[in-house]
Amino acid sequence: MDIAVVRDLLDKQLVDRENEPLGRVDGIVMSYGADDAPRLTHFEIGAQTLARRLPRPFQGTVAWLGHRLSPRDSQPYRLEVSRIIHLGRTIEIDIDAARSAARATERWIRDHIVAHIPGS
Amino acid sequence: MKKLLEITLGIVTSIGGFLEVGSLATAAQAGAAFGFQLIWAIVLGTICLIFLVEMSGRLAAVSKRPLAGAMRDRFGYPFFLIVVVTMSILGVLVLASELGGLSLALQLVTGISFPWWAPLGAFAAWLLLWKGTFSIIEKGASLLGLVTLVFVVAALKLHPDWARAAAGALPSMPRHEPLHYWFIAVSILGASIAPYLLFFYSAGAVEDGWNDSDVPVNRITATLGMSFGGTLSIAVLIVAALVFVPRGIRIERFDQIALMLTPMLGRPGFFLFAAALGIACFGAMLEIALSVAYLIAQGFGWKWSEDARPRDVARFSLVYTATLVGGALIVMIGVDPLAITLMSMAITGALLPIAIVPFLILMNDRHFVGQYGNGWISNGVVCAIVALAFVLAVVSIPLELMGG
Repeated sequence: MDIAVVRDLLDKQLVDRENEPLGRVDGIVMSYGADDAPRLTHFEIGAQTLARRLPRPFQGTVAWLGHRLSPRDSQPYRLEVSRIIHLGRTIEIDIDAARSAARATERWIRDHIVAHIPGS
Repeated sequence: MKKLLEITLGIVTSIGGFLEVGSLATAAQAGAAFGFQLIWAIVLGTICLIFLVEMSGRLAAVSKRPLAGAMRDRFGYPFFLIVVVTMSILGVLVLASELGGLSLALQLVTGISFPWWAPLGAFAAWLLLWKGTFSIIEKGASLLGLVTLVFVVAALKLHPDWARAAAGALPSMPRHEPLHYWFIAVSILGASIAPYLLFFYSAGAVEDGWNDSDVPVNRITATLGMSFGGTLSIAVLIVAALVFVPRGIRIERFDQIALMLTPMLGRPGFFLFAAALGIACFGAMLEIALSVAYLIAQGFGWKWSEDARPRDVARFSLVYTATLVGGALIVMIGVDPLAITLMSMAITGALLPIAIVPFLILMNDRHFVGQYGNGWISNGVVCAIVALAFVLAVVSIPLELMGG
């Protein structure tokens, strides 16, 4: 099967094995393997990655905003491409969203803001 | 039998949900200032909306993706960011208009000035989103919204000259105040072709799990529902024309519009107007706050669902909360609700291409809609009306700002 990196991978919805959303493929990481051939190794999720994809004048602002709004350290979160279970309308990854660092911001907002509001 | 019930319910929902402060205020202004002459703008806006709502349902049914998610999938993040930023700002602005309308309705009934009602109205909407489910919000708000049918009753009681009304359905050049005429025309188009409705509708279709077999039902409900809804707007325009023009009243404030039902229905007419305005605006507020949350959550791949508990969709719930707070702040600083309504509807007209052009591309992409792609008629009609709204907006907004 041919996979077009931009058409089929970049910006697609990532889900865990229970079909729980993890985020979207904000960036793609390639690295050189032992045989010196470049390989697609990771997907990245995070504001810093998103900032780098904008025209230069906007990069600083978006990165700063992402840094300020992000409750954890603002390094992009990386998912190993080798854990892909299924590629389709969404990209299914063999991890558990509830425990994954990809959802750290979601959990932080839940525990520190939403959970304190009655009826949540 | 089940399908028939589904269709009926869908149509009732669209009628009840159609009228909101934007279409009400713009139609009333148009009638008071230009008689039946601007009926064509409502007709064009409604036709365009029928096509667009049908498309957003079809996209969701066939591709199983909501509009916002499909946009990021197809066009990538940098372009999607433009859509998110413009549509979110617009959402807050339009939400402020609706909250202004709700607050004014409460002011009409209680006499307590409208900025005081804004936090209360926003809180009530938030509470319903926080505790309610999608179907309660969609069906409840729409069933109550049927009170807006009072405008059709009033229009019929006035025995309008139907031949003249029909003549107004054809576009014509203004006989006086050309700038104001085109500004109102684009406000009407912006009020009818509300982009938030498309994000809302497609998210609902995905949440309800539509598939290919829902395409025909979707076509019928979109067409009939939006047509009946457009009829409501036309009724408002006709009533405004027959009540205000002979009395030489120019509408500058909302409380003038509030008297439009009194000549036919007396004192109850005043309260029916307040009820119709309040309920219509409240329903629209719920839809707009949710649309902004759908747009952002789907675009960034967060978990979203109106039926889930807020703690399970923390970021999604936080976004609709923030949208309501933003809208409330605008109303609380006391900006004139009628001015903000007309302006935000005209700005919608100017920004339509940002949402509609990529949407049309999606509807012609076989990767997304397969054999259910658009025909040339739907592409052509939507392109022409959106282009018209855009040109009118770009020309008339600066002139209206300078002149007004």
